[in-house]
Amino acid sequence: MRYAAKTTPARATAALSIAALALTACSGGSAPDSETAQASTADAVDTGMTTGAPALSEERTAPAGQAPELEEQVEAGELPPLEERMPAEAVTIIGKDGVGQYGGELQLAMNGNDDDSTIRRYAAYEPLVRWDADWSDELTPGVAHDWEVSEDATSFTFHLEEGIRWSDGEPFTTDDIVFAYEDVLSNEELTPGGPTDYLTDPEGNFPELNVIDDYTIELQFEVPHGLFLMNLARAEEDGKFHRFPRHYLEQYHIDYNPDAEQLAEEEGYEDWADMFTSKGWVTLGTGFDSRWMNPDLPQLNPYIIETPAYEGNRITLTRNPYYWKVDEDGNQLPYTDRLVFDVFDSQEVIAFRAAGGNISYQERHFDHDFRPLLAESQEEHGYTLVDVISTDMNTIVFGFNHHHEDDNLREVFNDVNFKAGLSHALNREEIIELIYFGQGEPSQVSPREESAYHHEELANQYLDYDVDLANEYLDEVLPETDSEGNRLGPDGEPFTFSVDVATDRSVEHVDAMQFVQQYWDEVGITMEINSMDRDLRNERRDSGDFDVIVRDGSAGLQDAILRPRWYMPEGTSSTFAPLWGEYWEDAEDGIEPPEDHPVWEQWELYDEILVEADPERQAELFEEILDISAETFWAIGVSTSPNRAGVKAEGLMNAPDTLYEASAFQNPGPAYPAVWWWEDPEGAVADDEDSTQQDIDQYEGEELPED
Amino acid sequence: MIQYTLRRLGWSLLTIWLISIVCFFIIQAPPGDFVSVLMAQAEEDGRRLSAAQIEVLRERYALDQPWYAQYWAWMSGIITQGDFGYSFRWNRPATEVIMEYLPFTLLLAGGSMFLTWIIAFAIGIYTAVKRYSIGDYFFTFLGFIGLSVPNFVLALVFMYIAFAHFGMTVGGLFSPEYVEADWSVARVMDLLQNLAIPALIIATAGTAGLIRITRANLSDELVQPYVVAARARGQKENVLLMRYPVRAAMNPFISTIGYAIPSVISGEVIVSSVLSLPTTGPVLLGALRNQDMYLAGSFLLILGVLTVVGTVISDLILAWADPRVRRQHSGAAQ
Repeated sequence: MRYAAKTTPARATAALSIAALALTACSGGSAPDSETAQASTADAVDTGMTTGAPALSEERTAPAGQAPELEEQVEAGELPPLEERMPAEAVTIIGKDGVGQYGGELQLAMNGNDDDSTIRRYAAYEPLVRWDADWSDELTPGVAHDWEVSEDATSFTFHLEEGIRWSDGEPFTTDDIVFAYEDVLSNEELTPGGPTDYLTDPEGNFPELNVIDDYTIELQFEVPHGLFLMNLARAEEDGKFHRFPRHYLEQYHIDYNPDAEQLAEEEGYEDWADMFTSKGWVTLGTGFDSRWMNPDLPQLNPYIIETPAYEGNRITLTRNPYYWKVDEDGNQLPYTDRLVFDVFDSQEVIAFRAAGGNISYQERHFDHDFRPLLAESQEEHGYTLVDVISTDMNTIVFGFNHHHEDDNLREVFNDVNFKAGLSHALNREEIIELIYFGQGEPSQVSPREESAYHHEELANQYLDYDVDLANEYLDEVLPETDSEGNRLGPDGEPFTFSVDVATDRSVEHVDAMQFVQQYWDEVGITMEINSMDRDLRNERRDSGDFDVIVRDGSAGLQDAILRPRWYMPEGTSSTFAPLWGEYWEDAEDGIEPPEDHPVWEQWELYDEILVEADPERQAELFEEILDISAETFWAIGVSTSPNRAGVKAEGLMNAPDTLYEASAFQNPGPAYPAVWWWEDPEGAVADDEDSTQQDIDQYEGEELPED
Repeated sequence: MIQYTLRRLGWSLLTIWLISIVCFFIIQAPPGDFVSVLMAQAEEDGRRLSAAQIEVLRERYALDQPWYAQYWAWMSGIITQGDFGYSFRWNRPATEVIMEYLPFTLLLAGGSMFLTWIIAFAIGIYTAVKRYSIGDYFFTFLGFIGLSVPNFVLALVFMYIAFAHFGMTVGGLFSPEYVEADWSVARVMDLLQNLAIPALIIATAGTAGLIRITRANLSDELVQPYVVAARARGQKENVLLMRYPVRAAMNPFISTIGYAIPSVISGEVIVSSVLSLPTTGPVLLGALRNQDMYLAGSFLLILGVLTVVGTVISDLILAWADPRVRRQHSGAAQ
C-alpha cells in the first residue's frame, strides 16, 4: 500500500512551530492564526504524491481540535464533545501546505442543474477503497481501512474504520451494509432493473454477506469478480453500498414500517418506494440523488446538504460535525465552512466567472480552447492555472464499421492495409496546429502515456505523414483507379464512404473533417461528411447502419481496463464494431463475429481479467488485449487530447496544481477537498462583494481576449 | 361586436387544438427518446444502463406506446385535471417547473417589450417627421444593425463590456451577494440592474421592424389633406402631430401584441442561455435537447396559446380602436 512519505527534516521544524502555535490556538478554542499558516507554506510537505495533492498519512492521530462553530455548539450543549463524536485514533490526511486553519467557503460552479456529479466529487468521495490522487493502480484505504481478497476473487473481506459515525451521530457498522444489499439493492421496487452492474458479480448474482463483527464483513460472490475493488473506487452515486443509514431509512421502508404506504400518502409521495427514493436513494435514469435533496439524510461525507440541489441556482453544503478524518495535529476536517455551488447554463459563463476570479477551484467544463482566456487574467484576478490531465486520450477517432452490411465495404474496412494507408495519409501536425492550437501529439487510439496501460506500438504505429507509403498500403487493397485517380472498390465501382459527425457536441470535428477529406482525396479515397445530431448518430450506430463514425476517444488512464470499449468491441459504444460489442454483452443481441476473428481472443482475455484477483496479472492480460488491438487496428486516431486548464484561487492551500480528470476518477475527490484551506478565510467567503468589485475594477479597460 | 368576439374565440380554440397536435408530433419526430438521451449521458460518463434498467425506464415513462396514445393521455390530463404531464428530467410536474421560472420570464419579457415600444415609438415618429435627415439615416442604420446582429452575439458582447468596463456581474439575475438574500429594496435594485442588459438585447431585435412600420404609416398620414388643413388653421405642430396622425399610425403597435407576447418569451431562449438567466428559455431549450417531451410539449402549447390569445386580444382592441375593422366584420356577419 502506498502512503505519504515520512516527514522530512525541513518539515519537522515547521511541524514543531505549527504544533506549538496550534496548541495555543486550540486551547483558545479557535484555529491557528495566519502567522502559523505562513510558516507552514514556507516549508512544503512531501505528501508522496507526484501531483502534490494531499494524501493519507501512515499515522493515525487523536482528535484534538475542531471548528470554532462546532466548539460553540459543544459549549452550548447542542453537540457532544469532540472525543465522543470521533474515533480515538482518527484517519489522518496530510497536504503539501501543512496544517491549516478553519473558515472560509469554496465557491464552485456547476454546468446546469443536472451536473450534480460536481457536488459528489467535492463533497462525497468516500468510497470503501479509494484512488490516490496520483491515480496509481494501488488502491488506498477509505471507509475500509483494510481488505482481503480470496485467491479466486470471489470473496472480499472488508475491515471498516472503527468508531466512525453517521452525520447524526449514530455509529456506522456492517449492519448498514447488510441493510443496503438485503433491503435496497435487491428490492425490485426500490432498485428496478437491478443495481449498477458491479454490485453483483459478472453473472448478475448478489453476494452472500457474512457479517463477522460490527466492523468486518465478507462479501462472497458466486463467480470471480476481479474488477470489484477498482469499481468501488469509481464510487458512482448508485454504486455505493455503504450509503444507507439503516436507523434512519427503516422508517420509510415497507418491510420495517407497515405504515410506510400511509406515510407516503401523507407526505405527498406516489408510493412508499417513491418516498424511500426521495429520502435516501437515487432515482433510476435521471440519477437524482437524495443526498443532495434531503438535509436529514445521515451521511459519512465531510459535507452535508444545506440548500437542496436540482431546484434553485445556488446549492450549499455545510460541515458534517461527525466527519471522521483529521489533520496531522488532530484538527477535525473539513477546514472550510461551506461549499457553495452556483449553477450556470453554459461553459462560457463559468469561464468568465473563473477569469474574474470568482471561483475557488474548477478543473472541469473548460475546453482546451479556454486556456488563453483563463491564462490572461490570472495575475489581476488572483488565481493560478491547474494542469488537468484528462482521461480523453484522442481528439479524433475514426471508427470503421467492421460488420458493415455491404460486402465490399466490410471487406475493405477489415483490411489493416486500408486503415494503415488512410492513417499515413493524415497530416496530423497540420490538424494539431490549425484545429487544436498546437496542443497535443500525433497518436493512435491507445491509453495515454500517464497510464500504466500505455501501449507503445498501439499508440505509434502507422503514424507518419507519408503519402507514398499511404499509397503503397492502399494499392494492396484498392489497386484499381478510374481516369481521375479515384480508387475503385473490389466491385469495380468508385470507392466511397461517408463519415458521421455529431455536430452538437464537437464543432471542431466538422472543421477537422474538411482537412481529412483533402488528405484522403490525395490518395484517391473519396469520403463524404455526414453531419448530424448526436441522437441520430447513436441510433445509426446502435443499428449498425453507418460507414464510419468520428468522435473523441476517452477512457485513456486507469479507467482503460474498466471500460475497454476503445480497444475491443464492448457494448454498442465501440464505434468500430457496435453490434459485435452488443453480441459480447448478450449473445441474443447484435451480430456474431466470424469464427476466426481475433476479437474472440480479446474477449477471452477480458473474461480472464474479470475473474483474476491479482492486479498485476490483470495488467498483463490487458496488455495482451492491446497487442491484439494493435494487430487488428480497430480505429484510426489523430492526436492526444491536450491537457485542459483549470483554475485555483490564490491562497487556497493544499489544493493540487496538477490533477487527473475522468468520471471514473471523481476528481477532485481523491485529492481530499476536505483538507484544503484558506490562507485568508475571512476573505474567502462566496458572497464577498468588495473583493469581487476590486477584481472587476482591475480588469477594467482590458481588451477583449482573442478567443 | 359580441358575435364578432364569439366567432374569434371559436376559431382560436380550434387553432389551439391543431397546435397541440402539431407540437406533440414534432417533439416525437426526431430519433430517440428521453431514455436514449439518458443512455447517451451514462455512456459519456463511462457508465452503462443495463437492458433491464432501460426496459423499466421505457415502461415508467410510457415511451413504449404509440405517439397518439401518448398524446391522448397527455391531452385528457390537461383538459380534465389541468395536468400538463411530468417532466422526466426534473422529476416534477411540468407545470411546477414552468411556474418556477415564469415570474422572471414575464418580468424580462414585459421589460423588453416596454423598451421596444418606447424606443420604436420615439424613433419611429422622429424618423417619419424628419424624413431623409441625418438623424433618420443614423437611427435607421442603428435599427438595422439591431435587427441583423443575432441576439446571442449582442449578449456576448454586452456581457464582456458590462464585465470589463462597468464592473457588473456576468450571468444570472442577481449579483452573488444577493443570490441568497431576502427580498429588500437593494435586492430589487440589483435585479433591475441585472435585467437591464438582457431586456435591452432582446428589445433591439424587435425595435427595427416597428420603427420602419411606424415611420411608413406616419409618413403616409402626414401628407393627408386633414393634416394640411389642421396646419392651415394654425394648429401647433406638436399637438397636431400627436392628436391626429400618430393616433392613426398606432395600429401596428396594437396588432403586434399578438406576436409580441410569444416572441419575447421564446426570443429570449438563446439570450437567456448565453447570459445564464433563470428564465423559461434555457429550460425549454434543455427540454427539447433532452427529449423531455411533456415539458417541451407544455411549453410549446403554452407559447401557442399565448400567440392565439395575443392575436385575439389585438384583434379585439383593434376592432374597438378602429371602427373600420369593426364595421367590416359585423357587416359581413349580417
